[in-house]
Amino acid sequence: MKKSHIIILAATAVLLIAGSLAVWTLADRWAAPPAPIQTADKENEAEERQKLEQQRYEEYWSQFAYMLNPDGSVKEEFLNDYYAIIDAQNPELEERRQPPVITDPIDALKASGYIWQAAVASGEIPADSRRLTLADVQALYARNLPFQEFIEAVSAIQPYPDWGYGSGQTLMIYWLQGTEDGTRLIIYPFENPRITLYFPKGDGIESPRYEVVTLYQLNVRYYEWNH
Amino acid sequence: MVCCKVKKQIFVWMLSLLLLLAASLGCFAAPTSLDIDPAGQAGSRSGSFSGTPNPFYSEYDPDKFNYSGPALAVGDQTDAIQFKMNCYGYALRFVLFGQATMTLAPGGGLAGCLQQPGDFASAADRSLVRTPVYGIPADTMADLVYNMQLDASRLGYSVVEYVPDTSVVAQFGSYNRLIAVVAGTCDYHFYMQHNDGTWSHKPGSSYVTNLSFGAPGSQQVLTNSNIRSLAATGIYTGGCVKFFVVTRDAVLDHPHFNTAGAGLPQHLFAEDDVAGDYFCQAVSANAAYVTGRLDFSTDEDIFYYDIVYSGLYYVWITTDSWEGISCEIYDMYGTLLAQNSGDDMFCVEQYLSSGLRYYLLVRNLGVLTSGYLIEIY
Repeated sequence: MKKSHIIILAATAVLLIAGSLAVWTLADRWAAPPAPIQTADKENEAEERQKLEQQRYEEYWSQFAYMLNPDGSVKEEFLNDYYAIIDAQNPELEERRQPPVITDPIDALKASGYIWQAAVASGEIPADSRRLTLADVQALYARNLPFQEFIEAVSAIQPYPDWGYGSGQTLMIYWLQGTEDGTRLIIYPFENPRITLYFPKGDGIESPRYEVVTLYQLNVRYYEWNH
Repeated sequence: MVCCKVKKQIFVWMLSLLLLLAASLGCFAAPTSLDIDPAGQAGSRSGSFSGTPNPFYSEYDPDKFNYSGPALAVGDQTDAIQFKMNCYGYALRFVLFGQATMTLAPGGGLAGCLQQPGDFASAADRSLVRTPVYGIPADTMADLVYNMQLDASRLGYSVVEYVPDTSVVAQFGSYNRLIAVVAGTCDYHFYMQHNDGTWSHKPGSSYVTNLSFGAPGSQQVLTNSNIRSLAATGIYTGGCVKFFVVTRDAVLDHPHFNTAGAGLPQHLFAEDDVAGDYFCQAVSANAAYVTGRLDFSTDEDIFYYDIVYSGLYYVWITTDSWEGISCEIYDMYGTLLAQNSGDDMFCVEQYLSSGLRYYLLVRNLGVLTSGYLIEIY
């Protein structure tokens, strides 16, 4: 190869590098369209629109002002409503909401834990069938039955608990008939097995809501009946 | 001669111009950054891919938990995860090791394994585990938290209370996670936060759901903005609600033996692997082989490999499951590259390029749990 050719190729290489750098630098500028020039009118228009949107936003939320304390926090009694409104502003949440899996009302009662009501609704037991009373519990306890036999004896009187399943623990709740104050028998059959009586007491916030009496801790009888 | 010389010079100049043009085009075509879809929407697996493994990542994924197989009966044994955890197990990622035995729950329902706070305390701490006192929610909460701390102490994570200072709770999920605990008058409940700002929970042996307690139709999707008010509803109404930041990761592969009732400490170190079910929770497997275990019927274990040398790689699978396991290779964009098939269930081959990360997804083809050995070379 002649000297002139080498010079030409070298010059070309220099040009190639310079050209590439120039193209690289300018590529972004060429690729992106130039920013539109904002005219004074357009700026004003945007400002007006923003003001209007802000006004609408304030008007919308002003109707819920009664839900707020003076410091802007939400009043305790309106927490549910307020959050529901906030979440309603989020359209993505609707997509995440699953359609209710259970459509049958009896299955829905069962799934919600209302086993007695589900059994009545399905016709398994009549609505006026025998229910457990505090006197029944007292009589069964007096028979000195072991833990499992006590549960079976309860089921023989009232085959379905009023509420059942639990989340942390498996439990069966019997709202004792004839106790207007809501005394209940709660059986925990599996986890830390025990049988308890709940006697309503205070409001549960400032004072205990229930006096809880443990009748059985598995097969150990815990209580000297004096009620 | 002169003509020939000029021709040659013209040829060299044209060649140079062509080179210049090609280089310029190359500039335009060359990507300025790696084109990674952060949401993981591209590829054949979506929604859970991330370039950076984060074991605290969680998403609402009810199909993984909710059982839809043939009806089970009392005494049946199952590897379905729905019956291998309750709300505590779901929120803290404790899965029963082995099969759950179905027991008759009140009213004819079926119950599986329900983990209790304090079940995982060390042998030395077993005597310290409190039996929660019910009737006074604040006292119940104190007992639950005490027991949770015993579990955390043994398993090496922390539980720190977080008190929200606004009506909307803060979002966690990068270096730790947020859970909510409700102490009711006769039971307790746990919720867990997801990385998209929603919450979910698992009532007892029932379904995983992101809806609040309540009659169908009145339930709301639980979110950071309503969890404070909706956590204590249903039988938990009037209960005590607290939030805790836990450094326990969101990976589901933390099984334990079921020794409840036997008076023995729970065994939690049967962890053949800690590979999570999502790309975010993949663990490094840059070794010649890795062992693992599919701990429930819908379990998936995901490992990642950072390839140093390009070449054709073979992934050999050995499993004790006669039903077999599926082994899939994905690239870093979540695109499926290769998988074992009916023709060759024990080997996958794929060309892998150096400098790139690849994912290996191991999936159960049957309904029973199984161990496996993966060799790659």
